[in-house]
Amino acid sequence: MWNELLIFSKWLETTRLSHLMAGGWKWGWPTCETLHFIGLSMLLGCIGVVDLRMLGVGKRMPCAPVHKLVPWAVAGFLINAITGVLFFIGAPHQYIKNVAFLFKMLFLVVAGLNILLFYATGMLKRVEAIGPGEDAPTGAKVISAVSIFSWIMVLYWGRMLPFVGNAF
Amino acid sequence: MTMEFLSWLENTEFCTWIRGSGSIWAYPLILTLHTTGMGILVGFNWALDLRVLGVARQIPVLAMEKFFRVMWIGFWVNLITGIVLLAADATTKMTSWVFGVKMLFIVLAMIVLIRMKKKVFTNPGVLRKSAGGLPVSAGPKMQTSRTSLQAVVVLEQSLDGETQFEPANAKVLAVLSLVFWALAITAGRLMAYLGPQTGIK
Repeated sequence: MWNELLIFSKWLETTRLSHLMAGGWKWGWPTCETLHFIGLSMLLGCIGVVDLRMLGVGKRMPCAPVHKLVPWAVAGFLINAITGVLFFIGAPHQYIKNVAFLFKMLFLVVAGLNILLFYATGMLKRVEAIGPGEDAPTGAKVISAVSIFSWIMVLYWGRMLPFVGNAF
Repeated sequence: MTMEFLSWLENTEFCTWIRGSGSIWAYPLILTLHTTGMGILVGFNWALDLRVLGVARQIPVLAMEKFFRVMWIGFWVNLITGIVLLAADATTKMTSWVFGVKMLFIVLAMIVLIRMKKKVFTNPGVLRKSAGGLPVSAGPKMQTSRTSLQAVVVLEQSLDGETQFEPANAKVLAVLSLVFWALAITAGRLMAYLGPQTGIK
């Protein structure tokens, strides 16, 4: 498995896209970094409003319309998924050996499973019935708290990439 | 402010520790807090901007006032961590035009945020105007049993969220807010690539 990953990374580095990202196009990396930070803010802010409402902040908002912000969080996530993959293509070796990257991916999976849980357990239906001033069910509150925590952990380990494993 | 002062500042024991100790509690922690604060301040501000521009318009906009406190937490975290990051790299950052551009857009974005709060949340004129178009029978009854602010929220909901709440002016502020923050983030990121650098990211 490890060997396959090494071979795959070596191959990635031979691609034209990898060359462009790794300095072939001077502005490739800075542009993606900027977009990555913009996407991060979109994701954290839009999902933050949804999560905090379920935890009781801004309770005068009914929950159903608040969930209309979710597509904007998804848009932020997609920006970051695309630019993130481009970083990986540009310099795969600095990620595969980096423990911070491993943790970042781990919390990404936690955040993803948490969202899956929210939709799969029918929690969305229950939450959408919540009117102004009403409390969310405990289950929804737990999911919201896990969501905020895991996204901040994704951010934390992403920021640690240069310091823990010498990525740039 | 002279170069001597900046040089003294970045060579104080504290700044040397922040910059060069290699401790996970020094530069990396401050930087992570700075990024988290950015995500909170800009992200929640963007969510508010989107609402003002008509996304999720069934959210009673006044109920979003609570998030101003969240945004201010993000702001203060970033002001404090920002001052530490600046002090640790003072001679470079204070002579960097990119840093100047970043500060300019942050100041502009914060002015817009405060104007937005005034315009949409605390300007009674705007509220009265919006309540004015409602059936007379609905108005006074509600206002006797609740505060006028709550009454407006209820009335807004009773209108099925189709509000005439935000004057066109507020939408202009929302667009400016979106743009200024995007430019502030861009300048912040490009500080690692343009202008004078010490290699500290």
